[in-house]
Amino acid sequence: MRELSVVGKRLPKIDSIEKVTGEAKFSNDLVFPNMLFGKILRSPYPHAQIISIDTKKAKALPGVEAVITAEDTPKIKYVHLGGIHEDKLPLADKKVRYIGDEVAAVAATDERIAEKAIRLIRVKYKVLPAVFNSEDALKPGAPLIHDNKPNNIAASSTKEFGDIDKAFRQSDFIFEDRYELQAQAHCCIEPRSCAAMYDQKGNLKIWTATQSPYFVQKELAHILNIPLTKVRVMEVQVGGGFGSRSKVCEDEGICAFLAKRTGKPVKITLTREEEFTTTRIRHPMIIYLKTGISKDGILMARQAKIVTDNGAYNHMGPAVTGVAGAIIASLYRVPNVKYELLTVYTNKHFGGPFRGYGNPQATFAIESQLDSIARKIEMDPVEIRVKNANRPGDTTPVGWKITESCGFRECLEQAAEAINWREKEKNKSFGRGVGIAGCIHLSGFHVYTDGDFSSAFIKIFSDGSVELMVGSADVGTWSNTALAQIAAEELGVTLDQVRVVSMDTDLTPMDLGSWGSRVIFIGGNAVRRAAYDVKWQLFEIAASKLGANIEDLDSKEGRIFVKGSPEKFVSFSDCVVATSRHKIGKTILGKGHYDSPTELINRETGISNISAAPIFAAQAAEVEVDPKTGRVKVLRIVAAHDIGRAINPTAVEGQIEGAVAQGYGYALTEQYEYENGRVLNPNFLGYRIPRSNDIPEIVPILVEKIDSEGPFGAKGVGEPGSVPTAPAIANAVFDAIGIRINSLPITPEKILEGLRNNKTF
Amino acid sequence: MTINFRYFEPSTIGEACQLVSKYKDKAKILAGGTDLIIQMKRKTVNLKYLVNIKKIPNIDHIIYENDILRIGALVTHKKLIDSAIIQKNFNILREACLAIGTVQIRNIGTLVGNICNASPSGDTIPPLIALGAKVKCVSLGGERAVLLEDFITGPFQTLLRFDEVVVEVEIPPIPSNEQSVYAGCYAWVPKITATDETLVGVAVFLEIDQEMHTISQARIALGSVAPTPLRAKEAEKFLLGKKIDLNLFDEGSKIASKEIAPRSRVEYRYQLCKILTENSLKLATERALKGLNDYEKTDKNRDKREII
Amino acid sequence: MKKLIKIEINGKLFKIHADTSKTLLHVLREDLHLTGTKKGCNEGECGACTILLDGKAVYSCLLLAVDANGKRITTIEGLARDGKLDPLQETFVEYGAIQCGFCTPGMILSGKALLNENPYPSEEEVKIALAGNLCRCTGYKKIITAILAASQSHQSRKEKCESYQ
Repeated sequence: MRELSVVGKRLPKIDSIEKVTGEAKFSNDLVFPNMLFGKILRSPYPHAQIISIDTKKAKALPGVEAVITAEDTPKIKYVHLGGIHEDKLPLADKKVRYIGDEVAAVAATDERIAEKAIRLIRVKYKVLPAVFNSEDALKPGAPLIHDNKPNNIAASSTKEFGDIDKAFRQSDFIFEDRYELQAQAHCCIEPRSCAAMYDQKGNLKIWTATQSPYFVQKELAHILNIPLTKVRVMEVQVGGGFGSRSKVCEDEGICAFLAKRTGKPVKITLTREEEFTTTRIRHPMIIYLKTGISKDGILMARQAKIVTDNGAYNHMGPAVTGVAGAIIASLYRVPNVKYELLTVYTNKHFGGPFRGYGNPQATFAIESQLDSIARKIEMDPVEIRVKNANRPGDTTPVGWKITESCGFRECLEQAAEAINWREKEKNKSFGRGVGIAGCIHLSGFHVYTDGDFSSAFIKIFSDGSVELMVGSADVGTWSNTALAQIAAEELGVTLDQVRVVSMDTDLTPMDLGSWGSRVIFIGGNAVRRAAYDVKWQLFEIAASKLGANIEDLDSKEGRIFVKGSPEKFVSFSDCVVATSRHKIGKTILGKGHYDSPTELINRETGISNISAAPIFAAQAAEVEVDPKTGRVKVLRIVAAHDIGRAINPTAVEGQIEGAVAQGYGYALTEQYEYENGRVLNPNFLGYRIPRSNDIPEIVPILVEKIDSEGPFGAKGVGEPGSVPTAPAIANAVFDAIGIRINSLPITPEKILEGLRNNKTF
Repeated sequence: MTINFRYFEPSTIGEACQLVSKYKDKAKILAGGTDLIIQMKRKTVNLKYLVNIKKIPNIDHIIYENDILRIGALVTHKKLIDSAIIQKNFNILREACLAIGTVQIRNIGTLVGNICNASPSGDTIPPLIALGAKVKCVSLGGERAVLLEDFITGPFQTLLRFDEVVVEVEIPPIPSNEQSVYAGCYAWVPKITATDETLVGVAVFLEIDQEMHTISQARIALGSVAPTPLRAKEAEKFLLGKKIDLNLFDEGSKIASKEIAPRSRVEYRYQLCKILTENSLKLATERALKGLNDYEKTDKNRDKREII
Repeated sequence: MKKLIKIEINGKLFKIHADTSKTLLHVLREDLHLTGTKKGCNEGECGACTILLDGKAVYSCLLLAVDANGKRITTIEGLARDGKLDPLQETFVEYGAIQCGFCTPGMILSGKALLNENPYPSEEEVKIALAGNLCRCTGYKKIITAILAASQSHQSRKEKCESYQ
């Protein structure tokens, strides 16, 4: 391959200027003529029947233009996983299932009037008994949350691969442990926000903080019972996602209904309290893990029971548990695997996609236990991992094919080296320790029958500038910039000659959205194909103008020339102008589509190769633990990530650093407090995410083993940064003070209790 | 947000007193507002009249004269941190102000506001108690000075009457002699992250007899370990007149930790209280003996008045 | 209740009939359409609403608009001069300190307040200055680097000037 001039370069994010000047407009910054403000009335009870709703007084309040309940909607449920898993209406009908469940909504000319109107709505409830944890929800006689799901089991599945009983019999050592993972809040600094308007023809436009415009379009059309293309999701700046916005959000549906009812633009922005209590969370899980190992440290068998606390509604719960199960089968080489998955309803706020999507939970269990195992059989924790690391050519029990670019071993070795593993293990001191953990994840998940695809359009303007059009959303991940760099590299222009239009479902081609670490691998391939397509259209014109063979042409900085003779060139602009005047009658428009060469997930057998690019990482942490106060100070986290090629190293580092900070919070500081289903700490005062003076030194290490399928060799990196962090820290704590903490977050009390009684938590 | 209230900007203390006298418990004082505005947003305060005292002159002072330190009602935590007087003579207060959350809060939040809010975890309160601070309350009927350790009566409750305005906090001279050295220390541990509310806060102020190497006076004030900040009087009594050694601090801190009554994370707070008290006693002693004298008498020849 | 107030915002004097129950954040965003200052939590915790009040970083969501009467405010819109970016804005761009950008205005202003008071801060001092501004995207690392870089470029420019003298 020729030397790269745009890909691989640390170029600035293409929307930097508008963000540092405050010009960038997020959904709550938008203002429309006659705009109304929407507010939502939510259930104060965790479980209740709705007997009646009286909206008379609210409707009569001056300034109120609409008050809606389920009766004002077609009462169609959101699809999400579809079929028997569809369980959520836009507004509650007959029943509420958690504190915060949407019951009614108001649109008014002023935010304060809307708030007042909400308080004037009279709802009569019949309170029902409620359950707040999976154990209680599963007990016989427990209150039933959804009529079609006996025992409150939203989904269950058991899969076995290989011969698990034989493998355990043949194991020299067997380890059994229980792990408990807490809920985690995404805490996007931009609270959920959207603005919607209808036109006279019944077309809906919505500006919303989303990662997946297509899913918003699809779901809104579904619940409004209108054709797909009557919904247009617009381009707008989005203040973070991390999975909380990768599917449709409830306020989007409500905003659309209010806009329809009033015929005016309606804007809804959630309060921070609503953000903490009514948007998605990371699913809490209890994982029972049993592992069989040979005396020379080869993994023989792994059996897990995963019980997921779904919360009150499904959203993606069964799928998240499914991924956790697949990780049980896929992290490290384990030929014999059995997992039992239970996703259980409770009367609390409900889980959804969150960076890693079940992987952080499963990996915490696997990597904490592997560390225990290593210590017990007296094998170095790095060595045991390298020994069992997934290798190119492997296929995991669930059918994931490990590609040639697998850099797991390199990640483990480089993370160990960066933390000075050998030195530290030799010179141990009580109170100071190092820990390591690895992970496997996927770039792209083929879980929809639509395929796992992306498309791109590229326009060349008459002045030679380039417009890239993609359906994914850059919610801060630098995806637009990286895609633009891919386009620029393929086309032969500089980055500043490219502008990006994204998200708009009318203008951009269909894209499943920004989730599953898929945008660079799948979106990038589509972009590269589009760039290639339009480049050849230009080359055709150029060949004719230069009197050359099209195969002999090359392009750089917007100029096309015969290879070796750059001084004689035609510009992109020349070519575009030529086609508009010449009798050729062509339009210069590039299009590219990429559907990853993978299999649709097979939920029957549990075996399918759902990604063309598995990705790996290893993180190592160094900690200091004060045995008197139990406080953990993380000194350093090194994070080695297998990324294929960094399209933009600054962007990749930023993704890793941000993800590690979230993993740090998951490990040490973040915890919801509940009382009978009510969140007691729905604010930044009570729910602690790390601040600038909390985070340790974070050192990203980019392991670049060029991937043959990825665009310019790149794979994804959006999610894995948050996966091995917590077990790396927990393992470091063990190394420091000999206490195993098997439940997150790691708190001083757990450490002191552990030290006092030599207990495991 | 509390919406229906009348807003006043009195230009003298007298006017402010008239307003609170007239409107009583329906009137609230606005200084920094870092607590009050949040209460208004959450509607946890009953407010019909808002009295903004920031236009009143002569209550924004840090004055150290005749060995008395006076801090006006409008003095922010930031001003205290930056004050040369505080850095030199009352470092324990500076330490406490630095424990308060974030730059943005310290820039507008006031010391007097922190006191009047009377949060059980308010950081400035234990050091002020350790220094023997008094709260100057003014009403139409006159003026009174209330000892801070009596002023706070419960979580978010004080002896401040509805018709009173706090104008100043005063730290009286600590009676002293030639043989003595003094130092203080404020040590704290946050609940979870660094900028969090304080989980346990310990303020220690010691007078040490240099010749006899004994403790002439010990004041230990504990925060966030009971419904109100409190003095560990048993521990203080225990330390009085005793010769300084590490055992002493170990014993003393054990006694102090038994005087607390935390409502949550109880075991952990007992442990932390013991550790922090011990550390504070050690550090204060070190400072005193090193001559890092935390308390210098005013030089009557130099005007140390600092009005900001 | 309304009160006529005068505030100097980004060097320009504004006369506003402000509702006494509205915060400065609200007036900036809703009445003056200066939407660069963000509403992240509305409770003085996230820092997205940070502005400079007489040069000091404060949470505009905790200030009543009427309390800003007679004061000098700087919002993010006021940092660039005649289309030329402030050195801090430049280093934020250069060092990749921006991801979603929602916390960025508040971060830059907190950085600006720090450098105004302490032109050559240590890394620790930068961390403390930013402790009132939450970011969930970046892990803070590149933001801290950008602020240090702006201070160092100031320092090296200052040294250059001094060496010429």
